[in-house]
Amino acid sequence: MSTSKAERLLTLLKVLLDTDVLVTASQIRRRVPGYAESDVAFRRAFERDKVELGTMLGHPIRSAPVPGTDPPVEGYRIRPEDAYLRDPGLTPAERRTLGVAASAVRLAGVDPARGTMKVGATPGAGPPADGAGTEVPADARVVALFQAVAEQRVARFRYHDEDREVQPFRLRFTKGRWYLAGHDAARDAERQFRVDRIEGEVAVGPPGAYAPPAEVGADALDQPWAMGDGPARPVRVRVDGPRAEAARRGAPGAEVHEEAAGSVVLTLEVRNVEALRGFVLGFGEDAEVLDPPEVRAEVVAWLAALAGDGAP
Amino acid sequence: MSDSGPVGGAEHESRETAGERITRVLALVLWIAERDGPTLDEAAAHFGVTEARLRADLELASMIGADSDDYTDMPVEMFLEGDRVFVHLHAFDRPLRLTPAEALSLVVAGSAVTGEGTPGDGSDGGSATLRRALEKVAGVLGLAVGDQVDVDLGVRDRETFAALRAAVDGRRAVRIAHIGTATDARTERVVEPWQLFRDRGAWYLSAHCRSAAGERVFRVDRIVRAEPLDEQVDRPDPLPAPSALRTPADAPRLVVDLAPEALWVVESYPVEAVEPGPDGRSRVTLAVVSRPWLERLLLRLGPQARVVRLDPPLGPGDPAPAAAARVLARYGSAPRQG
Repeated sequence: MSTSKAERLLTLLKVLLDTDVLVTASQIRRRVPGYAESDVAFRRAFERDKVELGTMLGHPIRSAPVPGTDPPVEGYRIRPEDAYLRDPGLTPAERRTLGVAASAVRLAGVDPARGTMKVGATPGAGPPADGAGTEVPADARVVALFQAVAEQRVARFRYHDEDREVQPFRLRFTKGRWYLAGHDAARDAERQFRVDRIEGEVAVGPPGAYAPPAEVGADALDQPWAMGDGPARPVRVRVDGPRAEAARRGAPGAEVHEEAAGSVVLTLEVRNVEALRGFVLGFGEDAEVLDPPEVRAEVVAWLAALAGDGAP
Repeated sequence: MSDSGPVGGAEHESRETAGERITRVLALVLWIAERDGPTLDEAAAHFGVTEARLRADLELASMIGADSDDYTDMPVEMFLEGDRVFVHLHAFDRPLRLTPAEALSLVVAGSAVTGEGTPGDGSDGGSATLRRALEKVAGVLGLAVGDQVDVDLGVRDRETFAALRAAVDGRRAVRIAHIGTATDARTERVVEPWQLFRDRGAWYLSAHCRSAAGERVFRVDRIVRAEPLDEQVDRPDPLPAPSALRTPADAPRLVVDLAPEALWVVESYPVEAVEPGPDGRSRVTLAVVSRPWLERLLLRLGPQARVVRLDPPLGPGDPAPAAAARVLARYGSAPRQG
């Protein structure tokens, strides 16, 4: 029955919290009612309970040898700071607002009530009836990277067929996708990663492994041409009047030079020439790459191949 | 995972794991302990459970430590007085830590600083409150929201979004300045707003457009200004299902074989069918907004796209070579001087 299991877990949590010394498995078995008679069944249930409590608290329950035991006996405890939340001190209005917002903007796969209840916000409100609710996609990789960013843990994952070791600075959701910015150890430089392109799982190291950068610079996410592993080089693009406003909005990080004719010259920091080509050709004959010559030549070659016999 | 069977009660509760139940039980006793004898009704409503479930939860909490020889003091003391409930806590008197997933869900929720879903009239009141709540939660987590975690729900400009939300909620006509997707040109028009909705990472406004005399869907991040008017307007009932990518019935069709690296097209545009094509390509049927739009798409795709078939209104044959030649003319010799 679940009631007895919930009761057993609560009592176990109480026993592990309410102690200054490590508690051994056999002490736990005596103090916590509801464990089976047989040693094997007890062990199995206890291991599962540890996992479940660890999941509830967001970190595993670890053991350590009890001092003075020989041969060493493993003991357990949960420190209050590992179990309890510091009270964020939300006012009633803030609790209410956060509760409603948590119903309206949900993280996929996470019951919004779980977090809101813990901070004292009002759970229970369903998603808005008018369909204005938003679900932000998330999977285990996103959650692991969030933990890595929040607690300065090194993240390891496979990306573009390479194993990466990254000190994550920033996790960002935009245009329907999650992105990670961080310091890539092998390249000794900041890089951007699309989380949905991470191959397999994300492993995170212990907390406090690096100092977060004092200032996180504007990142490249609004500008696909800035994403990539290659070196960045400035590329100048002219966009004519009718599409100048759209181009400026499309390249918010660009340096803009306005021209008398109403056209603009945007200077973009480009790592990915293909993405730049897509951006420029999206404006048709209203835009051209000015320089550097090799990037201009790449666009010309692309167009010439496409024009075939129709080339001038 | 739980090794327990269903716990009964309402349907959503039957899938509850023991861990989820404990999280609620501890939040529940803490909430009651912080108050001066709330009624069972109030507590049940606050946590969105039935009164029977609430009673079962309270009973569970008061049983902690009951069978143990070593634990004579039970951490949760509970008593009922009429329909009011009182709790005194000797332990569990603070909320449990947030798991990373729970913390992220709060940060995501708190990032909805757009007026949408916030109580009140969609003015900035709710947003400011939510922003403060988010800052406090982030403070507990030791997190700089915006710098370290940034959730952009595709609203772009909060004021514009709030104005659109107010127009939709108040059923008022709204004047918008919009940068067209097909032309990139800025136009002004008055629309009768129907609804705001999200699709594939972006917000959209569906509306009756007075200039076009028909239904139109606008991407909110391409609306640069919105000014609700005093005029009340009607909207269809029921509203059409919101989809930014609903294929216009009368639009001409393009059938194209796309290489794997061009499949972003399928995520971004109104696609009617995707079938396996030759050479590992995908045969995709697209609704075409206009010929210039089609030309620009093909210019971007280059050899990644092979046109298979084109509806007659789009002209004869593959328009890409001629379009490429026109753009190439601009590159004629040296860059044009501005």
